[in-house]
Amino acid sequence: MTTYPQIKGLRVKYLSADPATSEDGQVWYNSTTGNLRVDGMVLAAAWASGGALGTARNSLAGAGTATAAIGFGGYIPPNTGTTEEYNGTSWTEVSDLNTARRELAGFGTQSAAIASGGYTSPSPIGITESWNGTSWSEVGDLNTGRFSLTGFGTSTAGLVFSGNTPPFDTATAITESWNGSSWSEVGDLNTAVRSGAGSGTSTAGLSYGGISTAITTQTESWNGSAWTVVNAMNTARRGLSGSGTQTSTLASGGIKPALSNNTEQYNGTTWNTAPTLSTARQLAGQGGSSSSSATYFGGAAPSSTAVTEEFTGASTQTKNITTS
Amino acid sequence: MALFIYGTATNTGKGFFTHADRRNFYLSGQPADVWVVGNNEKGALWLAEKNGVEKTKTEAQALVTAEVTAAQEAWDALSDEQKTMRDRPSQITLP
Repeated sequence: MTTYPQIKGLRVKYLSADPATSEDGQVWYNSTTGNLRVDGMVLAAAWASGGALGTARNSLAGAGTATAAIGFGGYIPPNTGTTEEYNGTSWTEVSDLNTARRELAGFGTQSAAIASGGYTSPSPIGITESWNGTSWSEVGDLNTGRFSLTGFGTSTAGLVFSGNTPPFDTATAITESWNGSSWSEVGDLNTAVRSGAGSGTSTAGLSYGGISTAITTQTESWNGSAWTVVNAMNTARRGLSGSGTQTSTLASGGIKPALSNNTEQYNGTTWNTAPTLSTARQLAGQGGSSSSSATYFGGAAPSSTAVTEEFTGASTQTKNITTS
Repeated sequence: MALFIYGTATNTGKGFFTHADRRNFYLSGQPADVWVVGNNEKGALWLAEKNGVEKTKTEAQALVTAEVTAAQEAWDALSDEQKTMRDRPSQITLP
């Protein structure tokens, strides 16, 4: 019979405790617990349920991280300025936006965020509000009022781009840069789009998905001054949400034209399919810091929903080896 | 044997389904609190633990269709301008 030393070239170590550091595939016997142990067992990525929003709504904006997210605005119906903060377990309602709206852009953190643009019947707006962790204050308007736009960055260095301008189904490529007090128009997207998603910083970001003349997979990369077309998503969707960085992004949900539970991870070069949401929906909010950590909340499924899901990327762990 | 179990259950938020649940069995949330669960021991146990009410596929489909129809009627009542903001909800066919 072939033995472990013959296969591995080493004997299984007999240890009184798990080693402080180990390599994937390393096997040892823990004499204290009486278990044969192996390191590097892959735990697949997955979505799990999170605490429900206090107010079910869609077309809201999200910012922050998976465990410190903020959701604001949206459409119940009617349009709302409701703002809620997530602590990784539950949502708490805080001060409303001054201007209730839907399909707005949002970026920043739970304690310092920007809400910009959106739709208040009967027209798109350029109103921008700044969140200081306690309340919203109106600051400089966008140069071009629009809704279904996307943004990323911080409360002092951000970017908004794309969107829907009158007449109602007209996509735009306009990009505006935020310096903490005012907006300046900068380089346009290569392709006008609306209802897309984005993630990153004011100097290194991504735009992906949405609808131009048709629902698109197009992805563009922002370097602080210009957009460049890069590898496309796998599944064309509009009304999707995204979070993360230019090199580690998670794109979730949308409509294609059926409601989508698709999730994709971008690694700076290519998009890869990830485990699906449990509930297909569009126009949700999302907060997250990378392609392996995000919270996706609210949306239209097809009616407004309060459902929250939390994404955790693949990881490795140490496990006991058993015969059962 | 059928591939799926159908039922209704109220999503209670955090912990309603875990990462491990999603790795262990098929789980899909639908309108009207309908859940489609893999027809295996872990899936059946999950639905029972969530005080789920098992439905036939036909019953579950009727609940989903009714909710989507209501959403379609709400969309039909919007102004032409607002209809351009999003597509009319599509009916959902359960797996």
